Amino acid sequence: MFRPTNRRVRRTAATAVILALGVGLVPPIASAAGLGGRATGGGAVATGTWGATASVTSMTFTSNTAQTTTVANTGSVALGAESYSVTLTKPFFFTPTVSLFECPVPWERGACPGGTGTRIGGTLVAPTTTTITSTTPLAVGSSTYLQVEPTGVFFLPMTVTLTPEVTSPAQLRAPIRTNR
Amino acid sequence: MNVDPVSSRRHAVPRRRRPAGPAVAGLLVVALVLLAPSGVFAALNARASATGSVASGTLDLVLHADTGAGFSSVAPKMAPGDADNVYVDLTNSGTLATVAGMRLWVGAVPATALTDGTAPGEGLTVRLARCSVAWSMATGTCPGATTPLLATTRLSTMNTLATARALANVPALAAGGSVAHVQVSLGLVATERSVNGVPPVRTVQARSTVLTFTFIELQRTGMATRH
Repeated sequence: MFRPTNRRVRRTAATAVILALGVGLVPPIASAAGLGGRATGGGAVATGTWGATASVTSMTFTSNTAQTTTVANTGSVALGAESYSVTLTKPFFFTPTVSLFECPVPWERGACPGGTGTRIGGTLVAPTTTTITSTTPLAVGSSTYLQVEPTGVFFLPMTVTLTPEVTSPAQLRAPIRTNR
Repeated sequence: MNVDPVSSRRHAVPRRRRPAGPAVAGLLVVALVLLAPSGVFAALNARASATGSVASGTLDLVLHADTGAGFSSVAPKMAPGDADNVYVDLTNSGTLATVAGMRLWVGAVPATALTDGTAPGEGLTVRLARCSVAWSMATGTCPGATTPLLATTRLSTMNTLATARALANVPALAAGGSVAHVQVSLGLVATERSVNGVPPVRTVQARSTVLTFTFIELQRTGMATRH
């Protein structure tokens, strides 16, 4: 048979006193506040994505033959510009250089069909890590075509890593103001 | 003879039990003492009561579209720097006047980096302004005089009732009075670098949520009336 111990009785009594004090002493806050009218409205909001992706980000050169990569806007927001983080490793001998060219259509046998490619950035001297920027706008889903042209490479391999970077808001399309 | 010491102690020293009665009685006395005054007060007043009619006023705030569709549509694929503007009127449709000022908070379901501050320095913002005449829907500009109600504020700082922001320049509204031609401008702040198509870990990209703007007005101060 359950029998309350002295400790349990005292604890129960103390709890009851605290509750009673609470009931008696807490002021009726709710009744002191005035009426508040509320109105609500809202809607859904979603954000886009922004970024460019290169089909090839690392190239190894053992000769002066150019290599290409395709950079696509894989986000859902049009881009106004793109940057490329470029790193060149230096072979043990020689000091090769690299130039980057951009073409709106795929390169064919080292040439930009319909014209000359557009140089982006200056001539890079190995070894180096730098960032160059292209001001070519890229619509959603569209691509630009880069060609990496080395000089001074003789047998010993030189590696070029090229990583597209897009920074918001500076490299996104112009802001859009919607009134609805 | 072997004697179980434990058993022996158990029988030899019986536990003293203090009666619980006094403690419980004390508890009841304390409770009665604390609760008694209201009962006594009610009893005394009952003898002096009089009858009379009383009616309470109402306070009701209504939000409806001003120019355009108001809060009914969706802002898709926002990018940093974009502004999504809606135009609403706020009308005190109750029978009581309000004090000057109004408060606003914006809830979000689900809470994301757009509204909860998990991407530091980034997220949705809101700005409110009032125009003396209807806003131009074509340009989002005010052809008349513009009055700021809320400067650009990050939603992560006003996403609960407790953090509701006070709106400036909202006058006391008589019953039926309105704050008309309010532009609610939603923006997105984000400085992010995506590397080879991959956004940073803490990002506001590809997030979606449903926002609820709650405007709160308060009744005028109470009046003492003598009859």
